[in-house]
Order: sequence, then structure tokens, then C-alpha cells
Amino acid sequence: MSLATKRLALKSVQPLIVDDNAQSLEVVSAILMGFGINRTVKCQSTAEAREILATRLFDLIIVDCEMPDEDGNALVRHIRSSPQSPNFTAPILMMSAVTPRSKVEAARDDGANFTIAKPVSPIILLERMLWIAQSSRLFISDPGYCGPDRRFRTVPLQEGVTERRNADLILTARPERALSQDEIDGLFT
Amino acid sequence: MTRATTIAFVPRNPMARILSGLDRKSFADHVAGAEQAMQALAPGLVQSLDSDVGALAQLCRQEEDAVFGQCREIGRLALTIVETARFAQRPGLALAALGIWEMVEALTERGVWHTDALRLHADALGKLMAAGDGPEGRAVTAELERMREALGSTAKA
Repeated sequence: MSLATKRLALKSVQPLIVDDNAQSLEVVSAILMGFGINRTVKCQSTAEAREILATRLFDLIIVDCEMPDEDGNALVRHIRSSPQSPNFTAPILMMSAVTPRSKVEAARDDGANFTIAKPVSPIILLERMLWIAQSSRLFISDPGYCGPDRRFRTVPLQEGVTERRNADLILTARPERALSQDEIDGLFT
Repeated sequence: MTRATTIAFVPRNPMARILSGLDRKSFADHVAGAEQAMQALAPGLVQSLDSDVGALAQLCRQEEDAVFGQCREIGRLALTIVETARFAQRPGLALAALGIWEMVEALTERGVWHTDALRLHADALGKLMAAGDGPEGRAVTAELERMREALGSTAKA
């Protein structure tokens, strides 16, 4: 099936958009509305977003990188630093009008799923949403990093290095065998 | 028993339901709907360019100390212009505004500051608004690019 004819049910998606730029917020919101999503929550500051994120569960979080006071990267780190938060593993898309490699890498290392360039194009946004929907990407929770597995390529390990993910890979090799977040949490309580 | 400090798991994927939910529409239909919604916003956004460019020029025309003190606001406004200008298909305008943003970034990251170049870019934004992306606009864009190159900027068409 070609991408253009792929059928998607977006109406029930509940996204959060965080962007201090009111115009940009309107554009992304209009795109989502054009997708048929009418339950979008909009925030113009990370402080406002932090409050909402603490109590509401979102299917997708779209965050602007460049914001005054606290930037989008800090918000992503905040989301990924709270395992008890309802949105700890939520998919996060970063948006940025300036996308040098360093910025994209910083967003990735903070735990974002993707970075998209502004102005956001409907095709790019929908492709990323579809990618996330189809993905069963591992989530890594480590003292040094929390977020989607950053390794897209599988390369052989160096000599003498053992595969630390072996047990996890066996468990998650088949979706029905994958541990849910609740099950994982249950192992530690 | 020692607990592992690294955990890898497949979390619940809330977006997965879009693949199987009821009332599914094609990817192309969704994109067409979004483009239509964006078009409805376009006139208002393009109009805001004029006032944002005017406000930026005003900020940059202040005394040097004031310009320096408000460099964050200048950078924010420049970035807003970059986003709107790209949306309005005005690449020359977007590039000049990006040049201003980079100058503000150069100050915060490397302590480099060029007031004259900043003012010149802000004035050029006004010219580009009037000239559009025709021959005159392209000439202004090329001159600005040369200046940014001399300053070590990476903002290019």
C-alpha cells in the first residue's frame, strides 16, 4: 500500500503542543485540526506545560526547541526524568527553525523521538506520526539517558564487549512478550 | 541481588491505535485537509510579517547598550520572522532574519557581537519586505550573505 493511500484514524489522538510563538502554535494546531484532531492542548510556556503534563496523559507531545526562560530541551529532559509521570514514555517531537546537527543531536540525547524543521509541513508531521505509530522502538531508562533507543543501526559489538540488552531483547523480540510499563515498574516495587 | 541500572523495554505506544481505529481516512486526505487549514491562516500570518519586521528594526535602531541589553528579544523576534517568512515563501527575508538570530547566538555562545552588521540586517529586512524576492531583493540577499560569510556565519540560502 502506498503512503498516500495508507488509512489512518487520527480523530481520537490527544496531542500537546508547546511553543511560545503564538503564530507557530496556531499553524501546528491548524495542521492537526486539518488531520481531524480536535483535542489538541496548547501551551505557550514550559511552566504551563509542566503543570498539565503532571496530571494529563498525552498521545503525542510536540515541543518547540527555542523558547525564552526555559527551552524545549529542558522540558523534554523534565518529562524523561520522571518515571512516575503519566507522560514519561510519551512520544516527543521537537520542532526547530534552526536545525544544526548539534541541536538535533541535543534533542535526541535529551530523549526526543524526532526533530522536525519549522515551518512544520503537514506531510513531514504526518509521516513522523505514522512512523511512531508503526514503531516498537525500545525505551531506555538509564542514569545517563532516558528516552527512545538511539541506536537505529545494528553494528557488531567490539571485541570483549558483552551485549547488556540480551535479556531485554529476548523479552521484547515479540510484541506479545514485551513488558508493559506497569510490569517493568512492578519489578522494582 | 543487584538491580540493573539500565532498563530497556517496549512501552505502550498510544499512537498505534491510529493504524486500526475506526473512521480511517487516507494519508493524502489528511494532508489535503491540513494544507487547507494552513491556507486559511496564511493571510493573517503574512500581514504580521510587516509589523514584526518594523518592531525588529526599531529595536535594532536603539543605542548600542540598549541593543546589547535586548539581544534576547531581538533574537526571538528574528526567529519569529524566520518562521513566518518561510511559511510565506519569502526565502530572502527568512535568510536575513536567520542572520540576525545567528548573530545573537554568536554573542551567547562565543561572546562575539557585531552591532553594525546587526543593524544593517535589520534595515535590509525592511528593504526586502518592499523589494520581494525579485532582482533587487536577490541583490540585497547576496550582499548580506557576503557580509555573514566575512563574519563566519553559516546562514546560507
